[in-house]
Amino acid sequence: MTAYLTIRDVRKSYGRAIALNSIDMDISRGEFLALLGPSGSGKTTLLRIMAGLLIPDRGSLVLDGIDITKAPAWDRDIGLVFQNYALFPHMNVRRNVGFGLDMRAIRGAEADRRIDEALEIVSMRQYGTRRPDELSGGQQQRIAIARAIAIKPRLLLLDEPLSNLDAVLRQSVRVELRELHERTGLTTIMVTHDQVEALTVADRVALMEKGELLQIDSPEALYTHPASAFAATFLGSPPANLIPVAPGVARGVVSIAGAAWRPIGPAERVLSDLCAPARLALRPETLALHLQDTPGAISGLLRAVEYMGGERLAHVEITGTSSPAPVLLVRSAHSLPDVGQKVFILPSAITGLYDNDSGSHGKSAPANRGD
Amino acid sequence: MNTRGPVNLSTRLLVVPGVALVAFVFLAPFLLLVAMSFWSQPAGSLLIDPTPTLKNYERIFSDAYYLRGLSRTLWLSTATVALSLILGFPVAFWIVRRAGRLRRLVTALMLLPMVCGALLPTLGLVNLLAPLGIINGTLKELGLIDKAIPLLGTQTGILIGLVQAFLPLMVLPLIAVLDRLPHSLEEAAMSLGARPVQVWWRIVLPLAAPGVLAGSVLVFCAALTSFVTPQILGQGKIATFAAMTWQQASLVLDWPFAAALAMVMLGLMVGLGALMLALSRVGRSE
Amino acid sequence: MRRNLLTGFTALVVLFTVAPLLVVVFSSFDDGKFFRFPPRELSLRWFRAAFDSAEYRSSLLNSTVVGLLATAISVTFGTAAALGLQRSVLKSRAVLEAVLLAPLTLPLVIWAIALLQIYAWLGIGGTLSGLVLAHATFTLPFSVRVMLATCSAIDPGLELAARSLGARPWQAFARITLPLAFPGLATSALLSFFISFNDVIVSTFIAGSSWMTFPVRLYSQLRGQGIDPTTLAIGTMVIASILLVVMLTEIFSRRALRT
Repeated sequence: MTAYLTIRDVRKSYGRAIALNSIDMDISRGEFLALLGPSGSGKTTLLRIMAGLLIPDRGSLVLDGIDITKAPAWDRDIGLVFQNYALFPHMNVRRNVGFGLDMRAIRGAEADRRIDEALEIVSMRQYGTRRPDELSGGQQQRIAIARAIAIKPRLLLLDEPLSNLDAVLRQSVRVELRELHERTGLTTIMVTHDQVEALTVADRVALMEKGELLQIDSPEALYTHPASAFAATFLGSPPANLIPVAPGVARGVVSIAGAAWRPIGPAERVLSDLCAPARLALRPETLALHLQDTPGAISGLLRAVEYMGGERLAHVEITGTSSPAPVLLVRSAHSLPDVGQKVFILPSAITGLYDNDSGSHGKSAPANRGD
Repeated sequence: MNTRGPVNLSTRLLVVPGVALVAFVFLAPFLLLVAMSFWSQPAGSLLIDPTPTLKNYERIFSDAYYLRGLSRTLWLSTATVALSLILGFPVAFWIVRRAGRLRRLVTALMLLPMVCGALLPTLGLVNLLAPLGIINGTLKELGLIDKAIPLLGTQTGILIGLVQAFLPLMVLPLIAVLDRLPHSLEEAAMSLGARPVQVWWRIVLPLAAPGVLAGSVLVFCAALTSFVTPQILGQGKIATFAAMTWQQASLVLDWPFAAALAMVMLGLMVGLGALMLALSRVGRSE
Repeated sequence: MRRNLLTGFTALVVLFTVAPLLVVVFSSFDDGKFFRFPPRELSLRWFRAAFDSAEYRSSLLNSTVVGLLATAISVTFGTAAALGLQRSVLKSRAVLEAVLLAPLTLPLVIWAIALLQIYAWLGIGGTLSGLVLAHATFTLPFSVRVMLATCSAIDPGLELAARSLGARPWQAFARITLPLAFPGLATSALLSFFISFNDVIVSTFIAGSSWMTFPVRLYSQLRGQGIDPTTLAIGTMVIASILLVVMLTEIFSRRALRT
């Protein structure tokens, strides 16, 4: 099946700074994709290239069979929602929403109908005659969205839609974005630096760092099977533990932070033929804290406990020869012993094992992948 | 954010010197001027008769000489505004959007003539516009004209001088207003299908309107009351209203009449200001 | 393509703006007796003539004296007024501010006529004090504006912090507020001086022959004998000094921002 939007070898640099380094992506029709990454990852640059506000140095974009690489923004039929909403201050809501229609010479009754439709979808129908400065941030955003969807675009691009909203609004708008997507069926691409946002809202997440596309997967696959150390630590709150490991003194023994560890179960399968130092990622929720030594457990000292309301986050210092000793974050629903006690951590799954140099998979844990 | 400090006597006293200076040296003479415009001076005498009368104003609006001077000055001022706008808007746009690191330099260059005063640039213009000057010389060499075009001593020459002098007054407010125009607005318009011309016409110009109004008022008032530049470039042959005022005050010494002429100029400026205010209110309500 | 068109247009307009000044500078180096551009032979003859001319020297001196005195008044009164305005109650502040900025609203021509008459009656027409008072008055609004902006940008919390650390009120003012206000003070002073120095209109009306300032002399020269190359030489020197001052201000303000 041909993808709806095909991005091939797109590159962009500014002088010697590389913003995008050969991006390849296939996006399906009707999909909700999140471009996730820290600042400087190139996600916004990629979005602007999709919108036609930037021309890539190399590469191509094909949308619905048409090459739009060099097409100017006004010819692309793409809806763009800006981070600061960019509502035209000298027009009221209806004129704002109808601007794209005006540009396509759709006026009068037909335009009114479509404006009403768009406003209805964002539940802002009664605000038609208001001006942007009379609206709250959340309301302005809805109008910005209505304006973008009124033209029935082929692609809807959202630039950090939740970052300007306060925490309370963010929750509800997240849900609404999902609903919007279901109602309109538009192929939607959202840029965000917030991994929670990306995981909750999108069908697939494209993780970017320093101009590279690291991994593109469903949220669940990206979370449980991160293909790079960066992915492991970027996703998840708190992020995955990343611990240096090395082959141990004997078969079945792994040196973790200088201590000898005999893993069992899934951990054993992943680490069985470890032949060089690497980094092991373990998500806090996959670790169980025991008070007695148990087979396959890593021993450590309880250094601190954070009470988080519904659960606790234990900071466990691995007993080993490394200095400083790495600390494992462990999620626990039960109350914990006193600080300073000896504890034993048993991993139920391995999040990932990564090469020290490349940061990517040495070996992945056997399980279903989301593709 | 400034916190209000203690408002005591010494704080109040701080404003006194400045206010007193303005009150005595500026406001008082100005009030006198207003009063004097309603007084009169019989012909041939230097004594001023303080009986209130509208004689001066009647004279201004009935004597063809003064009416011509008024219309000429109005025409020059309006033309100056129009040209300043046509030249100044693109420049302001370039400075805000395209200048990058050159911004300070180019803005400084634009302001340079104003900083140098009224005379020095006019000095240079005299030469540029003279029959043997570089403009005529170049045109002759290009074969475009046979005889030198007289620019000095004409309204065209004065117009060129006024535009050159007051262009910065249009550019500065435009820069201020364009600075506050987020680039994302233009991008939003483009993403919605607006071609560059449409972006300008529907987004940039309407939002820059306050700057255009402010600049227009500034340029109009400056051109209306400009004295030195028209005198020099007009070679004394073309009398602007300000020049007539000076004539009456310094040469003829008919101060009441000069005062009336000054009041007429003031009235025009106030009228324009009120008009612009009304226009800006209309723009906002729609 | 569009971008280049705009850039080209801007370049032309900028050229149009500075061309007259360039003409003045270039032709002041011309050897010819009469004002000509482009210059034929290069010479410093007119600069020497300018330095020799007693009339020009005295008029430049007059302009400088008047400028300095007017600037002193303008900056002190203006700064005091700005400080006072900052602390005022809202309603009276608006009125006072309007009064202080009033000279900006009225064109100098109109005011100069009024001044001429009052000065004649008071008998101070053509005197130094009359001239200085007038110059101080029309430069005051600029000082007030600049100092208002400067003072409101200075966080009053800084002075309070200094006091809480043990500084006496005047120490806090001198060591914290004053240095921070310095760029504003410098700007006001420069602005006032330039505006005073360049003034033609007010000075033409009220300066008698004894206190003829440089622009007035220039102007009467232009109206009388036309352009004299000596004038150009002086013009070039004035332009050069203005550029120098502007550049120095830039350098200093950049340094100040960096520390």
